[in-house]
Amino acid sequence: MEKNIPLTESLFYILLSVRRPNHGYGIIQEVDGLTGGRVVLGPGTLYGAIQSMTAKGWIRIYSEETDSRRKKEYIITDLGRAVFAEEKKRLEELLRNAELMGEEKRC
Amino acid sequence: MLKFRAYFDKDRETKWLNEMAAQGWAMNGFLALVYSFERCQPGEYIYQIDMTDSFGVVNSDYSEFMREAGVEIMCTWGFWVVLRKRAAEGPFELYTDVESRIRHYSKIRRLFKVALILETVCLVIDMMATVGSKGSWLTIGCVFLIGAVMILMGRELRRVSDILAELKERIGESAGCLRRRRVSGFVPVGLLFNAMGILLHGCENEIAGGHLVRGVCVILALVFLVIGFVRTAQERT
Repeated sequence: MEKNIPLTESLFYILLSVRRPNHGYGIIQEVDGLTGGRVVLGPGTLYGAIQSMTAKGWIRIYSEETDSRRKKEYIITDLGRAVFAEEKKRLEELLRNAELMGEEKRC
Repeated sequence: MLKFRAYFDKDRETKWLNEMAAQGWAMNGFLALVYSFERCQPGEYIYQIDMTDSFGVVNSDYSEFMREAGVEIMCTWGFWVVLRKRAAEGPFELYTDVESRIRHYSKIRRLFKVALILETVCLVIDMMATVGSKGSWLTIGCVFLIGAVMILMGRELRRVSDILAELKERIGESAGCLRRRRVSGFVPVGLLFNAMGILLHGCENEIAGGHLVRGVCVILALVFLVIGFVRTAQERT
């Protein structure tokens, strides 16, 4: 992976929310639920994130319903999954090393 | 109901729209500098102003996206789009994390930079017409108008740049990337001298030494403006 920059929280949770096909408002609700209301995505943030992740090839359009209510759904791509896996490894490393903090007290 | 306002500061404009809504007036249209309002329940709506990527049009993705999120698109003007949402459905914030706020303010900053450059070109043309003794009341008015608009745009540009600097620092993207360009104070001073030079154009014959004073004003104006532009361009943080 050429870019090893950490994912922002918002991008992390958006990627997670499109592991199954999901649409704009559904993503906002899922992230709200997953974080217990801590991360509530604004529509501007989400729209911009979807645009940039689509451009980077991390997500793609899943379907456009052809019935009267067009609802665009997004789904993660293989590249998106790879990026997410990298991020997961990074977070695991952080958590592992965080345990070290507890050692100090026993001196 | 109609109201006339000239806002350069989008955040202040948003705040004003929400204050009106709190008093029971919901904005429902905008043309030039005139806002139209309709009656509503006090605090029924929350307003936000967003910036689009293309002039005058909102692409269908965006409008569909907003509609789905329960956001109503009230009107568009240039690159701006006014949105509103029912307060009963909860808080309404467009940008909820630092990175997207940085992106948003960067777009605004770029817009104001371009606008300022265009205004400078207009000013130079206008001043050339003035100095070239084609000065008339029209060019006088234009100098004041363009100068005032430039100063207001410059202030908004500075405000947005300061916000961006603070946001970038928050995510650790600091010194070295900070380019806060301040418009040198020489510029408005130069503009004022120019205005004075023009005003004297009409009555330089009546006042003793009027020609000399006017000449001095014009020279000072050009000197201050050149110094101002050079200093503004040179400034690095």
